[in-house]
Amino acid sequence: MSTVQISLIAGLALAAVGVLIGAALTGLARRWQANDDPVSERINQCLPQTQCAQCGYPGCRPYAEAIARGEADINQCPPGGAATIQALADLLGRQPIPLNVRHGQPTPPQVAVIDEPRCIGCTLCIQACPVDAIVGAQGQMHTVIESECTGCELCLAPCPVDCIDLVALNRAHSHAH
Amino acid sequence: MRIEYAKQDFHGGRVLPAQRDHLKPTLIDWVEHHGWPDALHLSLGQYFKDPATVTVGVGDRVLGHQALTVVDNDHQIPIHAPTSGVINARRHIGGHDCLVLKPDGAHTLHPPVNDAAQASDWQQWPTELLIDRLRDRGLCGLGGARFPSAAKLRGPWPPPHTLILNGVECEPGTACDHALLREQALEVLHGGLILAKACGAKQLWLAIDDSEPALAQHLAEISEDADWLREAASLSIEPRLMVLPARYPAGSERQLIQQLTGQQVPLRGLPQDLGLVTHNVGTAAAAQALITTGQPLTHRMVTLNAESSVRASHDSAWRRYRMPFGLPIQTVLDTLGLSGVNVRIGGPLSGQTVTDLATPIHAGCHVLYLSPQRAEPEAMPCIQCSACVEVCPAQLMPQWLHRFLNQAGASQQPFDEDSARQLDACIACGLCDTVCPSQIPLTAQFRGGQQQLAAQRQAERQAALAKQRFEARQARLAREVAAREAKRQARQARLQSAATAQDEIAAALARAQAKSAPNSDSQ
Repeated sequence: MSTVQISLIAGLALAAVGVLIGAALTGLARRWQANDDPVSERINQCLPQTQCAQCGYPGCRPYAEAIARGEADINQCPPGGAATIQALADLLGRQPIPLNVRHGQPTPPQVAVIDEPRCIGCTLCIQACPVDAIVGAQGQMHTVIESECTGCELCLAPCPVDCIDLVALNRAHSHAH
Repeated sequence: MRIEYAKQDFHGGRVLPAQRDHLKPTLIDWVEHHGWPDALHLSLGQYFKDPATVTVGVGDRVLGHQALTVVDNDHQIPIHAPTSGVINARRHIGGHDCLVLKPDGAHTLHPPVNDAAQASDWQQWPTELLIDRLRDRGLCGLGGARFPSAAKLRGPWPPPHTLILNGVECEPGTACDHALLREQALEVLHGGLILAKACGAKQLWLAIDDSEPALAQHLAEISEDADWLREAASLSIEPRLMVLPARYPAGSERQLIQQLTGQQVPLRGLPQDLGLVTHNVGTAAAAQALITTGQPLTHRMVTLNAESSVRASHDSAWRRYRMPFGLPIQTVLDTLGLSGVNVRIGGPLSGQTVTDLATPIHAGCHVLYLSPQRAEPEAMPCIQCSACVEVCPAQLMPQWLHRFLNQAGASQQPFDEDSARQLDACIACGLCDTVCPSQIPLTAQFRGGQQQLAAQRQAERQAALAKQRFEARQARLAREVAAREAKRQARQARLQSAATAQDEIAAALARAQAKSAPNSDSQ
């Protein structure tokens, strides 16, 4: 066999092996798809899910989408504080920056409590609650489901009789004096 | 029972000299000798996050043995008044949510609540009833952890094949388990049968360590008791007596199981995953008492022990006492004339220092260990000598975890899977502290890490819930908007053609007339 033939056969064999491996890898890639959440979903995972809208967007997911589009900065989340900024910086490969206090100061975990005798049953807070943590009906007393309240403060403003307070969260100790 | 010797071993650990030869042998009933204290601080603080529901209010008179809380699941432990008196207050004492009971001195007892008369034939009781009775009388782990016993006896797992009664003295300064086995071996053995029947185990292993050579022989003889053997045979339970080398922390549940069976309890798993369940010998003796007397658990045996420098004075104080729950540690110290000491609940290694001496005796206080008050030694930097790795019975790398926690603390970085796994596996035995040449308080740091990890997990669960609810609400609002829009478009479409528009107008007129007609009639 001439050198030309040998190199031809070798070249073809290599090409065939390449095609086979390529096909196999394509198949495997289809079979086990990488966990490719959209960037906005991964950003959303870093956010505290308070849904307080202090960032200027109506909830954590919209804020995450705005960060993904490059509209919003990573330092607009007061409930998340420095830990969230650090997590977002790590995820997006940026430098951590201090919290933009125009959006608010970090607060310790809190929950809303309705002073039930004062509640007139207007349902405005129910409509404002981003996580459906308030139960009640028109003309009936409302109450907050403590375990589901994120302490976002969005129910405070609509209340016409100012009967909602935010109290520091202490789920371990509840006293019945 | 024949004496058998455990053949398997666990990694690390240390042989530590026992500190119990100086203890006086007799058990003293605290109330008989010193009377009731001015106030009992009854701890409601339970093992799990949801405490039992308190059924008494401030100012209420209560009788001895009266239930002060009720439970609605197996992870709660009810508490009972040790004596009669008045509930004075409810407040936080040393991290415990406490009811303060002022004893009236009369010690009037509430009669046993139920079926004490038939207690002799508990073998015939349905298993569920047996567990309910143990739970409602307040049985919990008396080996130090206060784990609710009912939650170990039944749960979402197939019935375990083996119940292990843990009589291994865990720490150098503890003495309750061996003393109980010396003095009340039959009660322990009977209680073992009750617990074995309750959980469905057909093998009953009694495990002790070899620090007291005569004890194994004593148990082997006691267990030849004909009544007990008949009872075991009638329940078809097969007993075994296992002796293992006294090497700390041989009495820790995971290490004990590894020595007895050669198997390791999976990380974040339970002994039940291996078909095993362990109870302290004190818990077994208590189970026997609760079932046969019908009375609730209100007292426990507490060893008072101390370092040699504290021991020199008060020679006769060092012994075991039968103390009521709620007895403030301050009262114990004052009565015995001890002051200026550091008190640990638990032994010298795994015990935790009491910061508020008003903290009460509770079911988990198997030993009060006193040491002189001294400043914490200054911690030097870690030199990576790996002495901690060699002794760690959980096969961790404490020096790595120490570095991680230092960095994480500085940068507020959340725990990753590696560190979370190490923290979950750490049993806080305190051995790494004893060998660290730089005197780093590693165990305290790991305990802090475990708390932070629990807080992080709680926050993650909370965030996942809020995310789910927010998204569900967004979807619902979007559906409502879409439905309104569809309705509007349908009406728009009907108004487009002349014929249907006329129908619409006619229908609207008819509706208006129908509405106004009854009104005009009534006027």
